[in-house]
Amino acid sequence: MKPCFDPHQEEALQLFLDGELLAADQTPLFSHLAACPACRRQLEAALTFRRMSRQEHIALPPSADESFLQRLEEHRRSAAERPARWAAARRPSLHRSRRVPLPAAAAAALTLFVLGIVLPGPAEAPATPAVPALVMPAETTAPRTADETEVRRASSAFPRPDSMLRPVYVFYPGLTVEGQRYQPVADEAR
Amino acid sequence: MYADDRARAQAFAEGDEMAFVALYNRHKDAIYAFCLKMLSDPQRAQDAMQDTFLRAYENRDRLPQLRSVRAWLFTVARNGCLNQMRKGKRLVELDLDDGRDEPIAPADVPSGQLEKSEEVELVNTFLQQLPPHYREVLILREYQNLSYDEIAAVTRSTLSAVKSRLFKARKKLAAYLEPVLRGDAPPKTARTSKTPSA
Repeated sequence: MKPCFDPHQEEALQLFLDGELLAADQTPLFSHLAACPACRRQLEAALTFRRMSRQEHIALPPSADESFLQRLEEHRRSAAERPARWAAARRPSLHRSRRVPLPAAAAAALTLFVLGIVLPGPAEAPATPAVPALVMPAETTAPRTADETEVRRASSAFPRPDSMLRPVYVFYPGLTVEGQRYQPVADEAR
Repeated sequence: MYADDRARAQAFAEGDEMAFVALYNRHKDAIYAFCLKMLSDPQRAQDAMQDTFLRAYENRDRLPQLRSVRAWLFTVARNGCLNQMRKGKRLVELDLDDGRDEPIAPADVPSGQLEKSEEVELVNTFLQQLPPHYREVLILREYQNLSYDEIAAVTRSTLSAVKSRLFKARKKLAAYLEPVLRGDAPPKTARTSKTPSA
């Protein structure tokens, strides 16, 4: 079939099919259609497609509503949890673990090691004990100097066995802490 | 209860969840039909439809500012469908040059009069063969009755591009339906309608 000889009327046909052609332009189009088999065939094809496509009734299956509501509920829940996740993500960078490439980590470790050897240490480094912290039972004699004072507070709430009342000492370089094994209920509440 | 989509969107933005349900009930079938015609797969079409309304739910503050909620829903659905096609590797090249489109072979129609179901199948087969950028404009125009302006907004293209694609899609349609129109397998009432119903 020969193609249409009038591109203007071809365009007018499209507008006509879509209901956009002005009434004044319809008469020339109909005259053209009478003389142009290609445009007539196109009009016919478009109308046939329109009729055929309207044979099919498309409706969403009822089960889709239910599954959508489920998805929506999950979505709402995750949206409610999102601020907490974002807060966690916004923690200071030191608290976050990061993946570091192995070569970079090895290079950093080697650099620190070399610097440790090459750089001179502090002139008078304080002697630090090998064991940093130690918890000892009270039977051990607590080291005490003249300026230290011992403050003991008797708990009269109810009697406890001696083992619970004996204090514990925590030794740390430069610091000695004496604490009770048992904290009275009244103090806990405070 | 709500005058129009704008009122529904406004009410939803102010916290009225029933307004969202009203929006969903009003547009779900059209969005699903569009997705189904684009994807030719009921399950994927349902997923795309649901994704569309989840996006609407997420964008509740934005909805009242839209010129047309319906057009926006179609835009989201269209993007979702194109993404699904990409995932399914059904789509090779979206911005294919129009001139390089392969011609669609005429329909292989059964002999005798076509049943309703056969006609529906014929139409669906044609749509599946049509490149996505033609398919979307034809579906939006013929099934959803969107105006040229609305189609241009949905497909993020110009008015002239919409007209051009629609024209080319209809040319392909005429070639595809040639056996039917020639009378090799005349549909029941193929030659009865002479005026557009748009």
